Amino acid sequence: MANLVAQDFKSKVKPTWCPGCGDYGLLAAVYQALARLQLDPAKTIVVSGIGCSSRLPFFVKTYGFQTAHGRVLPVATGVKIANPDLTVIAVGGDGDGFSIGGGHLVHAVRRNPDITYVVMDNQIYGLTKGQTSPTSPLGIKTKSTPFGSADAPINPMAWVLASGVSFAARGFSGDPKLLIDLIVAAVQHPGFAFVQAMSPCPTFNNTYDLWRGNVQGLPADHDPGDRLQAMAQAVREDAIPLGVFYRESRPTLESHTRVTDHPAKSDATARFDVHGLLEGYR
Amino acid sequence: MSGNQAIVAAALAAGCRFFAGYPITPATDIMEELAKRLPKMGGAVFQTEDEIAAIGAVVGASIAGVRAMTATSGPGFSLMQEMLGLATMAEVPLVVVDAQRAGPSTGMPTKMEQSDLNIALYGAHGDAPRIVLAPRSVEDCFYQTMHAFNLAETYQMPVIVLSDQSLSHRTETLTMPNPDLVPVAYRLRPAARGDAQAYRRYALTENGISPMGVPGFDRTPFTATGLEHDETGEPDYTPAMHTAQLDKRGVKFERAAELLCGLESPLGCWACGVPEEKAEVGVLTWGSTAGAAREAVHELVAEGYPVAGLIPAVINPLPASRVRYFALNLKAVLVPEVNRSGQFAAWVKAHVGIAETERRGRELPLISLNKYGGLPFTPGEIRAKVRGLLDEVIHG
Repeated sequence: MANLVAQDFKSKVKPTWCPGCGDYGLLAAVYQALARLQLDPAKTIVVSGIGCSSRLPFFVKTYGFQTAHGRVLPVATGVKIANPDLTVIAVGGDGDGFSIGGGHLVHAVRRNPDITYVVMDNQIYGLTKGQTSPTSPLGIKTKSTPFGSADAPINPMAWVLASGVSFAARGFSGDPKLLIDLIVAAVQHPGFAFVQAMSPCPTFNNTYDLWRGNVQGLPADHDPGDRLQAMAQAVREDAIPLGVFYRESRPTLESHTRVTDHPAKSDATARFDVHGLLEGYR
Repeated sequence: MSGNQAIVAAALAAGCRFFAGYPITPATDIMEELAKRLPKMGGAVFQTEDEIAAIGAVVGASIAGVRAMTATSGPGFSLMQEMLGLATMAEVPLVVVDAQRAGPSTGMPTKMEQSDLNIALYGAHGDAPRIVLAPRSVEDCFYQTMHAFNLAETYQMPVIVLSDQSLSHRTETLTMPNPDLVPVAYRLRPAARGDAQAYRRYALTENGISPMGVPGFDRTPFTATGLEHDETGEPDYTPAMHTAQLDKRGVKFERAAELLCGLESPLGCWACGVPEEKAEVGVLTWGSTAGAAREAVHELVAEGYPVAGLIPAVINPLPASRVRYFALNLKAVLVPEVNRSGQFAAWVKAHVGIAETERRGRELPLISLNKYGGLPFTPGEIRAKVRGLLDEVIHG
């Protein structure tokens, strides 16, 4: 395979995102990361749910699957078990991953399949044009909450850390260099790698200025091997720390549960012997 | 063996190497049995957090190229509907076994009912054609499950196997099933030396079937989606493309119907009793009610009554011509089924309607016999009703 550059991962499909959308920064970082990793497009699959950010698979020239709203992780896990040789990258938004798909997140995290999960968090429902999301701040006035939201936001980083995630990082679409590094590290991590990509929605919840003022690197002495330190950083309210919060090595789901007898590996229509099994009922 | 054991053996014989499920009575032992066997055969069993995730993982495994299945019962089947829609739209082969139990809602988990027919036929929004099979015996559980995989792979669509609690856990003595009687199919794949640039996953072909690239094996990346899409898979909301792709998915189903409803169908109807040309009263039923219905017909014929029986294996597409021919000259056709609303009778009426029986100048003489207490029919219940009908048509 020839040396691939970022451009090689760019499909002919043009993004439908608004001008200034943070997801452009994330997409550019994905192209760069895939090139740096020299991933084979025919052995890579980008899986998503539904939402603005879940359009991303169409823009990447690998295998892709845009599934149903909130269902990216169950589908991605099925792909990984069926063929552990594939690089599986799951993407989506905060509504997709933390609201309708929230029930799946903790289970994906605890099982630890070798999947990278990038959530583009804009703290708003953008595709449906501006309703409060599970990460929107308390009291936010949106089209669905004209008198302010009564719901406190989810803290995704604290949530995945508490669920036992084996890799967790946070980036910002305004800092593409760091995002590339984080995506590369996430894909290289053997296990479930969660990347929260702060990705503003300039149309319905413009947080660019607020976040630019609040993001900062994790402290120089942060130990990513210490879950409690990671949790302390996750719950900070004075700043939005960026970087690798936590990483540990533990067995993956597919090290235990995987398909080895893949039909495409041999004659796909060969007969499967069950005579012994049937004789057992005699 | 039991119906669930037969389904397990058939799935393995058909090449199923991935099962995802969530515990639910009376389907759980399909997962338990496969959990013992699949890992030793190079496969995987995955217990998920709910049924949405179970069928989601099945969709994922199938996109990755592995024959995949889930098994559930009514409450879980309700949760699976959105993924049936996705699998229809993205054209992903998969098999779902619904071991029906009494409903609605949690219903009676340990009691049988044939009341999930409507959701199997009509569940999920949009025009989403899918094949629905209904095993009539434990032996049928074996052969129909094998066929279900082959149909799913051939036509790249979901196939539902509607079993029920009375089949799942009954133990029948049967002739040793022969897996060699059913071919093993795999999805149509892109030509090995084809032009990857020209590859179109959802190409509009004559029979609706288009090559499905397998990630990791075929150098034909594409993006599958639940959105309406053009031939390459890119989202496309134009009237012409939505029409063309709906036709593509519809034509695939119609091709399946030509096979399944034709004279050479691998899943033909069971006929019993006297030939319908010589019968006065018929019994038309489906699924596990077949046993009681066949016994009732045999007993009546032994007593000299002109009774015929017909029991289709395939519910969707319904072999309508066969049913019509069966019913055409009968004075009454009894349709026993274990539900209150007569779901199968309504399905038959929708397909074998008034216009099509013009020769007789009347509607199909269908008479529903519904039992809905959670128990299957006894032959005596069906026999008694047929005797009553015979008295009416012969003496009345």
